[in-house]
Amino acid sequence: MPDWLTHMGIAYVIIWGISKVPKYDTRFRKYYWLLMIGMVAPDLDRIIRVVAQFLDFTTLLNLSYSLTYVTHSLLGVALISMFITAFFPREKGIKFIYLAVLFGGFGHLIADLIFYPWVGMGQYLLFPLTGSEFAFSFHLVWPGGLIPLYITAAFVLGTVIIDLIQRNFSVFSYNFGRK
Amino acid sequence: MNKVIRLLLLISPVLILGLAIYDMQRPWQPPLDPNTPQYISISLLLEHPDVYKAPMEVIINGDIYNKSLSGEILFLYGGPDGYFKVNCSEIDVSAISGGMHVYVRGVSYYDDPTKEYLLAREVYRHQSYSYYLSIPGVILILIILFVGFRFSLDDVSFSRRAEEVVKDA
Repeated sequence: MPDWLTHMGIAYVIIWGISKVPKYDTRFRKYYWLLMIGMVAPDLDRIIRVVAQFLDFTTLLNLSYSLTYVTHSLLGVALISMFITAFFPREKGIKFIYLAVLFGGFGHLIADLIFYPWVGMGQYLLFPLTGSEFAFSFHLVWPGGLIPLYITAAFVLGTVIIDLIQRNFSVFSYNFGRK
Repeated sequence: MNKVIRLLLLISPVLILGLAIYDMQRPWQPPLDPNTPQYISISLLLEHPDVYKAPMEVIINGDIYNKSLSGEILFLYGGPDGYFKVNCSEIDVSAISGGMHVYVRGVSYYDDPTKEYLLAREVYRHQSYSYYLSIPGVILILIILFVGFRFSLDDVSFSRRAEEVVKDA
């Protein structure tokens, strides 16, 4: 899986692209950060894995691997999005909050589809259906490496250069938590 | 808090955890198509030698626990189930060292008692950076939550206060 930084970089590039279309920028600006959180949400199981490795707790480690299967599926993303949405009880348009997190989660799954060059490996998008027959992947690169980060960093740098030339950093102009 | 929202908050993590436990506990089923390379765990290969017979092509992954002096046999650590031997005599494994994470694609010969190993056709050594690179990602997420959404531990909500919403409106 790519690291959280890569997933956030991909989310930023998507947000940046939307922000350049005034019609959509006005409508969706409130949900930018939610999309970004949704983009890393399927990897929340890593927190459990790090704790399990630190404690050398095999059962918890096995549970974290099973959680990865769950969270990296269509069903899992729908459930995680529900969980995150539930933390916004006072916001209006709860459906749109759910959709923003959900799209972020789907973006995460699409990004992860580049992994595992060997046939027979991939993401179990249709979990609980598992096995090589249900492993989806574009078979491009190995997980855990730096190639996705380099490519994402190049795109993010490109957005920064364009913003510098245009002197327009509008994507940051909305202060969600203003007093 | 809205009852539906509260229900979501309670039921969604329980469902996720339930599915994960189901994945851990469910009975194992043999591959549907033995002609497709099977991506399996080492423990599964050890537990079901009757299914993974030659010339079934399998892919396994694991941490290198040890490597023989000749470099021909790798011992992959397979968790509590013990060790699994991989014969790498046909490929170059000189760059692999202890502690590395590897993916091995090869052929299972469990049906042949003289070949209790996986004959490796291809090996990919894996040195993951993703845990380290996730740290700045975590910092960014925390900034978004605590600064952007003004996360409050008092009401378990990332939202703005009700009075602020009214004020903004």
